[in-house]
Amino acid sequence: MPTPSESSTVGGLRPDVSVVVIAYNDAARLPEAVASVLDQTLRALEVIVVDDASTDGTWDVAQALAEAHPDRVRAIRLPENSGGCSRPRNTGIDAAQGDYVMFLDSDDSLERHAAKNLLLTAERTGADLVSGLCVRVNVTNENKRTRWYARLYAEHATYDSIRDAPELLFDTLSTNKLYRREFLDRNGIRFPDGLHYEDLLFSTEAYCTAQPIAILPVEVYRWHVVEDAATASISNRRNNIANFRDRLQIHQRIDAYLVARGFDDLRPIKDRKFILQDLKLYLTDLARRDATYQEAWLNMAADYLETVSDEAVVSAGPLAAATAYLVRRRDLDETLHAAELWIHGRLSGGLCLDSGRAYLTGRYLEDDLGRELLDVTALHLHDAPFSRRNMRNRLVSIAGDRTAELRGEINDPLRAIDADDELSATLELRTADGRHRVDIARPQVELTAQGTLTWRASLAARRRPPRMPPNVKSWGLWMTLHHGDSVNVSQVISTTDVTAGRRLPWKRSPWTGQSLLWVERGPGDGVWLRVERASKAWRLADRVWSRVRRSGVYGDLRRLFLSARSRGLKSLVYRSVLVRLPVRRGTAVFESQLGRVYADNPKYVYRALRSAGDNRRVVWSYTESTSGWPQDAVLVKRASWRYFYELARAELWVDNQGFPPGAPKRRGTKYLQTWHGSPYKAMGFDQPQLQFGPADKRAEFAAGVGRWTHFCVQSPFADDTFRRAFRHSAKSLPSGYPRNDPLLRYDAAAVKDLRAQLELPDDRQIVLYAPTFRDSDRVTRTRSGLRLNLARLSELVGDRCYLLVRAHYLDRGSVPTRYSSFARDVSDYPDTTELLLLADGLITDYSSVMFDYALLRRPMLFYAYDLELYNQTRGSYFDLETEAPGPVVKTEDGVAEWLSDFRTPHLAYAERLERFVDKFCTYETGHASEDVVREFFGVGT
Amino acid sequence: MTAAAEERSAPESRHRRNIFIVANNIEEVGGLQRVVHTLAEGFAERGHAVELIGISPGPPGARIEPGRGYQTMTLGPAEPAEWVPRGIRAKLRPVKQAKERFRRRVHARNVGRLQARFDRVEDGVVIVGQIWAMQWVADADTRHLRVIGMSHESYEASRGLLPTAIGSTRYRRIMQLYPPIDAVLLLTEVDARKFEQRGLCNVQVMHNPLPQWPDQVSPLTDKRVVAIGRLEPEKRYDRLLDAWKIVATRHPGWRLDIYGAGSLAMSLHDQIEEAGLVDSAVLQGPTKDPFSVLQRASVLALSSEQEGLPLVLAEAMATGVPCVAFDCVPGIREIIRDGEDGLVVRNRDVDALADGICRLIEDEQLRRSFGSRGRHNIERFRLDRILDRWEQLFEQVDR
Repeated sequence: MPTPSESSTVGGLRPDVSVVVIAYNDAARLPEAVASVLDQTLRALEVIVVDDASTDGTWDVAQALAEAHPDRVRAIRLPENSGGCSRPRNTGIDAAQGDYVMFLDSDDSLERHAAKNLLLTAERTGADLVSGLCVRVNVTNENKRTRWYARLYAEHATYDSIRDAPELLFDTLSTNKLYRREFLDRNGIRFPDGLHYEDLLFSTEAYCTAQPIAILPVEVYRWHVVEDAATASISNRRNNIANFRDRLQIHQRIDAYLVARGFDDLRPIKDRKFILQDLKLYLTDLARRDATYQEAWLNMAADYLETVSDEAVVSAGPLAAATAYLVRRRDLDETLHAAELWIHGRLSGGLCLDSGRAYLTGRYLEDDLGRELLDVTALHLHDAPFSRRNMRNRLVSIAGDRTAELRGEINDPLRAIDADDELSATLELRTADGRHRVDIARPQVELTAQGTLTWRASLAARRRPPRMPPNVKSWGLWMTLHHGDSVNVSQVISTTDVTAGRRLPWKRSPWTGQSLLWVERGPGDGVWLRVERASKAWRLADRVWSRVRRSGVYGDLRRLFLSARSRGLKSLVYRSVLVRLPVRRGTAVFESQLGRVYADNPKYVYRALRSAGDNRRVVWSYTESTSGWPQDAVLVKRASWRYFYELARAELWVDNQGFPPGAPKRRGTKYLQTWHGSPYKAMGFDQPQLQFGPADKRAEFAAGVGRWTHFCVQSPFADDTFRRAFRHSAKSLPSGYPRNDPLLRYDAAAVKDLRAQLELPDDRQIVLYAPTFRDSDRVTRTRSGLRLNLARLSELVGDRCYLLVRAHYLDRGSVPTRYSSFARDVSDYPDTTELLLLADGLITDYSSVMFDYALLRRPMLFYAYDLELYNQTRGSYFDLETEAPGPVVKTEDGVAEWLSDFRTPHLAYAERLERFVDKFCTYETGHASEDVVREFFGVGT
Repeated sequence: MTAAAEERSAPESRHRRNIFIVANNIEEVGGLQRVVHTLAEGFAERGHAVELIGISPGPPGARIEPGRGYQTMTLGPAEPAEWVPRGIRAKLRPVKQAKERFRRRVHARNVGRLQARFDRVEDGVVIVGQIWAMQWVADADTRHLRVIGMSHESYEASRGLLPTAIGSTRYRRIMQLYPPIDAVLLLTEVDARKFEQRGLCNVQVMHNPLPQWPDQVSPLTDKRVVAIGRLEPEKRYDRLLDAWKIVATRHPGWRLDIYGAGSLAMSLHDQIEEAGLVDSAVLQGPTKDPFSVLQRASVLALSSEQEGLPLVLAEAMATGVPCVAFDCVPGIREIIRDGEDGLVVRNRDVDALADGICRLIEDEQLRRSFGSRGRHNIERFRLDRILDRWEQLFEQVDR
């Protein structure tokens, strides 16, 4: 009855797209690759499988596929093996019948909509070449995905020619693209036979000839990446020098092509790509090669780089350019040092200090270009304090059979350590995420005559390995070095394969059969150990255990067990028993940020209480460790039995966020809620989650707020806003915030001490970056991370500024160590007030630190990159753009510009700043803590 | 092929298709339902065989009247909510388990009914109106059909980021069920790009059509500002009334009519009384014919916190009525070109909304130029244009 559609099969009709699938000895994976084509939403396509004379069953598989889909799959076999990808692909192009051609390797796959998306884009734009996003997918872990040159695929675009988007030359893959077949034929574009890296030349020719070129910012191609592959795919076999020769030959042919076709102007950007991608790839493991290879490599690379213009070298960016320059100078040692600094951020060679500037080496300073490129003053390697140096710590040898004698050396080019300095070190194992740490030895460290530090450690055959958390698959080797008060942490690396296949001399754990094996190469060039679980019993136990876990029985038992220690039970006992105990007159319980830190308003209230000579019994709650907490107080772990007991019996409660909802306040208890900042963003019942959320959440919140008897405010604005937002009826203390007293009673000597203690540079402006946490991150379970490109910023303003990054505790750890000369993560530093004191400028967004920092009248920048979304999702009480006491910027460029000079624009905000302080910090006098202590505790005069 | 079928497909050179439109329910009086009925009638008029399928019946109350030329059906009574048993304690809950077994049977039966409709044709298109309904289509065998899915809300709303949609799991379901189908339709370019960046590779943009095209435009002489939409929290009529308080003092002769029914009727009524606006602001109750309301209006105001692509703006513009709206979702700017055929003001800014309304009240010339330009610009939402886009899309998914 219904009419059949005419295009459900390609039948005798000409297909829209031909996909050329090439295969060599890959019978296992070929069907999957072909299936990803047959499963495309575009059905008007054909598959051409070209078998490069495989010696396994690949040809049979290809024929079987062709038989199963006679009208869509064709199989072609080359008479003899070509040794590369060129001839099979060219054969495929010649056999193609579709209007457009795509390529697929037998170990990769196409995204389901790729062909249709590419085809529609080509038809819409009339492009000869459409390039889509390629995603590298880790075969063993599908979730590990990286986008190949994602910056080129940010949005849909059509370019009349490659000159409008020369950056495209960075993506030289031929497989993530769709080509008009007639365009390839007319211009004679084919893969070069007999050379590897054929993609590079092919795609350059295609880019240069295609008019127009369209960009599709949608995933089209899945490049399957195998980690630790026993047989690296052709292009990955970099240990053969011929491999590098091929690559250079391809580049020479590209250069010749560019000249012949009048594209000389693209040469610099192509050369930049050569340095940043091709050269870097080989430099990464050059140090591991033998001397003959290194010498041959260096000569070949230098020969080629001599044809590269200075302009192109300079454009590669500071360290890359310096490395390329040293290669061109055929200086192997310095090349290796520069490459290590560029790629791993580690200093392995010396530095040359000359008239206040720091250079990678002193050798080529007579050359103007050398002087320019080797200048690394802006990186602040030369004046970084001991704790922030990235010194190379190399494992030199492992000896011994029953015991492992490790020898290593640490490079200390700056001679920070004198012969008679006291040094101690710990060798430790750390997991890749840094969450677990196990100390394994205390090495002996010595300073040699040449100025390097050597260390030796002996790992004795132990009865049993140290206790290790289960489920950790691999460990990295790290060393912590103590030099006086300074601590330096470095990863132990190895440039020679000293470790391969050896076992740690520890006994296997009797339970798990665990033993540790040195790994030849793990992530980066660090030394890694793999955990080997050999015992059969363990494997069996492991299987049973995972069964049990999956069945849910484990979860149930665990919940049952935990419920005995749960808050619910404690709260029940609290309400029925504990609150009937007599109140201890005068006792106070203090807490800051749910016990996470000893800081903020409660800390300064506590200090004022003690300095007023009051010796009452005070209980402080903590969550993780007691270090940093005052010794003259009783310290109690939050949410423990003891904690509920103390809460029940105390007469006074002081905190800045909220005691557990399961602990209602007794009638006689006074509760000082200092809160932790005036409101910009929606608070309390104005928060969308409460406003539109379930009623029981609202009731619980209201009960919590109902306990407050006293409430600190900074201004009438805050008083008003909080009263409405929290619907509280506590007595407002118009005192200002106790934590801000140090800001108003500025003590220059203390600030100087703080700067020294944190080892901050004296010659640069200290800027604190303190963004707020985004609710949306919690909802979408993502992390915003640091919205600043540290590499770029350090290049632009590294000589003027030093950045302190204070992220939300969920976002911490966002500053890679390699930028330690420019930025530092201070998220774990307990007291914000102290950071505010020493910062010369502040970058924030919607955080309440703006109301505190304004008191210092120092420059402020508001980096509100998501102002609209934030206001839409969270809501705010005033318009930031009109009231902020500093510029509001939405882009990183704005931040860079402000950082380059924030003193001058600050002058223009003087009046607005005063208005801001008047409105939002009205009550601040610098004596808030005394006022609060007098008002709440009745202590002092 | 039977002779009758041949006859039906013969008169037009256009390809006659079997089209199934599946929606959560097709009976409730709501925006989505209006859209699917309009589309179904439009497709039928163009000679396609159309069947409109609801997964479950609408809530009791007003029913939408089906149009001509297409079949409608509802799979069955509402299915109970799904229960995923976890842990040993779940095994000790026989009643829950029995209920879940029952739900699965009902679900299987409903999928079977859907399958029976699909199996009656050899090829065709399934249009899934909402992600919820996709759970039934995904369980059916659609290998002989093309499947097109729709989502009628902004990216932020489906991610559960917006105050009115906290905790929405629709994003998760979209990313789970929509990737393999032939096309996913979103209402605006901005939302399409956001989904694309999150890795959804089959997104396209399709506007909803206006159900009719009014012949009569508003004379723009009545001193009336109107707002149309359900009286629910996300429409934020409380803000509109706050703004109206400002407008009313400046222009005493003007009145505000709010059309719609909903849970906030009482509290809005109280707000009107408290603000002393009884003479100038009136809750008119729901209307069946928005165009006749608009023909007597001079300004349309939209104070929502959350919308998809609010068609009421397009309806007003088609009737020549200029609009003032909060800039709450990208969809607003996809309809109104700010300063050219209407005004878009800062989201949540009550003063700005009041200023916008006053500007249109005070300047009749501006009203007229916005009105006529708006009617011209909004032609892109006419049913015929939208149906052309759909037919293009059908050809595309067929390739």
